[in-house]
Amino acid sequence: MCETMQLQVDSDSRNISFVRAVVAAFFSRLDPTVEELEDVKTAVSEAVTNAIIHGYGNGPGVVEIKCTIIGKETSTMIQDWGVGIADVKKAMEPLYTGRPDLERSGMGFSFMEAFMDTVCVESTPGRGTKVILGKIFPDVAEGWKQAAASAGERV
Amino acid sequence: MKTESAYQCVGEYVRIYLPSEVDENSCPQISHIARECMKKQGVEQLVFDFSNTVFMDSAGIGMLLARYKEVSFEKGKIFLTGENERVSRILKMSGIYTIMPHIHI
Repeated sequence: MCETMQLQVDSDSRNISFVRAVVAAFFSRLDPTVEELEDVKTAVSEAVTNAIIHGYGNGPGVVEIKCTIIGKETSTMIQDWGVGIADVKKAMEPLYTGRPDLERSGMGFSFMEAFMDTVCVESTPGRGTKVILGKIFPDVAEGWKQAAASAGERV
Repeated sequence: MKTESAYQCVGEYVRIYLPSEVDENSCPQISHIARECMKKQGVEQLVFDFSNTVFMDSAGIGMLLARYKEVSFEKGKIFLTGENERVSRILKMSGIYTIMPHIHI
């Protein structure tokens, strides 16, 4: 069974926190740990920030977020219809930033890769960019079994 | 959620209290406050206080690195205090602790 959620926000940095909260609330039905949820929130924050700063150059636009749950697999897609990325491989290099004039660390994609199981980027210059972040949340039942086993109880 | 940052000047160092979320939205104001603080006479050190901070992403790292460049140019130093486990993990991952140490103050 597939569960989905779609959200569209204006390209405005005030909306980044809102998107983090909505995505976290949607995935909370999988009973993730605090750390797992923070990981997803951080990665999503990076992707949405990129859409606003780079995709739309801090100008007007729409950022769309789509979340999907199939079993214990989650997928979060962040899409913009902005300038797009000419060289995705270069953009994803650690410490590379397309805006050296701003106070950027160039670590956005590195953080996404560190916190998610999979990161997929599709982009066409002049058309926009899609970032798809995948993460598997271990079974709730599995988590309880493991916790019980390590506490020495028989399951 | 509180989004405003405040600061306190104590002799030669300035303690900047960071907001609950340090991201692309809150960083410009933090940068502005830090730059204004550095202009004050006699300030050599910045202390960023994360006691209220529950979230930080790479925008915060970018802000810290920019401050480091500016402060180093003036021969100053930056210290970090009050980080929770999550914020500490982010700082460790990005290598920030190698240039801005944690301080208990």
